[in-house]
Amino acid sequence: MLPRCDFSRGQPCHSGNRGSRSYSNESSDKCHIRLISAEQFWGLRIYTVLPLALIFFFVYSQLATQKQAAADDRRLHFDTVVAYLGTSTIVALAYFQFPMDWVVTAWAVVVFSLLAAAQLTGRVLFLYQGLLLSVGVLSRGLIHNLFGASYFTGSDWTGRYVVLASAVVILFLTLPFAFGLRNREARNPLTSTLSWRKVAEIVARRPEQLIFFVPTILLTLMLALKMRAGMVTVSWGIEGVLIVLLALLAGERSYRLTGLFILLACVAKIMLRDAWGLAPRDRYVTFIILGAALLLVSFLYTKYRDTMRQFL
Amino acid sequence: MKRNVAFLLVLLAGVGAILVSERREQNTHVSANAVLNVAADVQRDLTRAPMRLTRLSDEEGFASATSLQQTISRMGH
Repeated sequence: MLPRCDFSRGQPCHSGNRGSRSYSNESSDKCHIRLISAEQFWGLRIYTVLPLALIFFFVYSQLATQKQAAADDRRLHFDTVVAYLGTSTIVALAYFQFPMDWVVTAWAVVVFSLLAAAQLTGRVLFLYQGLLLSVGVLSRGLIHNLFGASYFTGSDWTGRYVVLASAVVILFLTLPFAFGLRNREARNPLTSTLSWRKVAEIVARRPEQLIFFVPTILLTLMLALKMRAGMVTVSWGIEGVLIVLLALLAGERSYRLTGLFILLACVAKIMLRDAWGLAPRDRYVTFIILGAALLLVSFLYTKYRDTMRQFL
Repeated sequence: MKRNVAFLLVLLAGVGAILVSERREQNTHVSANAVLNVAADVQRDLTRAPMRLTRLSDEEGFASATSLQQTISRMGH
């Protein structure tokens, strides 16, 4: 028998853990973005909950074998249920263990680990879990970090950029695993006849799409909401160029179209809004940087014309 | 062999967790509060999203604060 699990928030906020909170004062909001010390991190919650996750994954590894003894359990999908319980335990632990703003980053790390596990073990279940959790990262990032953000956490560099940007970077780092899994899954024929399972299989055959679009949406909205008004177009222009470069590296049409769409959105925004409303200095900077970005993309298109044709 | 090693590791982690929690003697109150906390957090975030999209300017903020102050002081008299 294991000790009772502690998912409650018993400790006060000043200890670094998420304890009882008041939502209206500055000090409580500031403590949400402070990382906790190692001693507090390896506390009651970790050593009571983590063994449960280990047990779930151990049982899953035993049920998922091809042995006859586990055949009945597999038919009832006990192995899948146990694996989902194991991952849910870790996701819940991350939710309660990290400061509120950093949950999105912790979940992004879990997505990275799940896709790495899917790639290394060849078990597609972890891919499904990773894709599901990436939607969770998107929801959490939008609802909490972007639209639910406090005035106070959004007032400094860490609160505005570092927290969400770390999740975005981790998700982009997951792309190599997603491409590896795409190559493997594309060889398997679609097996499901149920419509929702068929959709899930189609999404799992192209995991690089979801793993690309989740951080791209978060990054684009983060720049729109957190940047100074005069610098939004500039930052979008830089993002668009970087995405076009990524598209060239990955040879992915949807990425390239996304990069071009962002650049076109910048041009439209400049013509409709920035040219009339920005301060002179911001206007000069915006025009110069976006002009340079468009020239660079045009140069890349000309230079890699043949490569582009291959993935049209 | 690999399976036995994995089993031993899981067993050690479980027994270790029991020992540490017994030594530290931290009593945990078990309840559904954690689930309520999650629901409250999500609700709070969801209610803040519309506020983020319809922010007031400083002038509008000061005007509504002054109006509130006047209403409250009228109620006081």
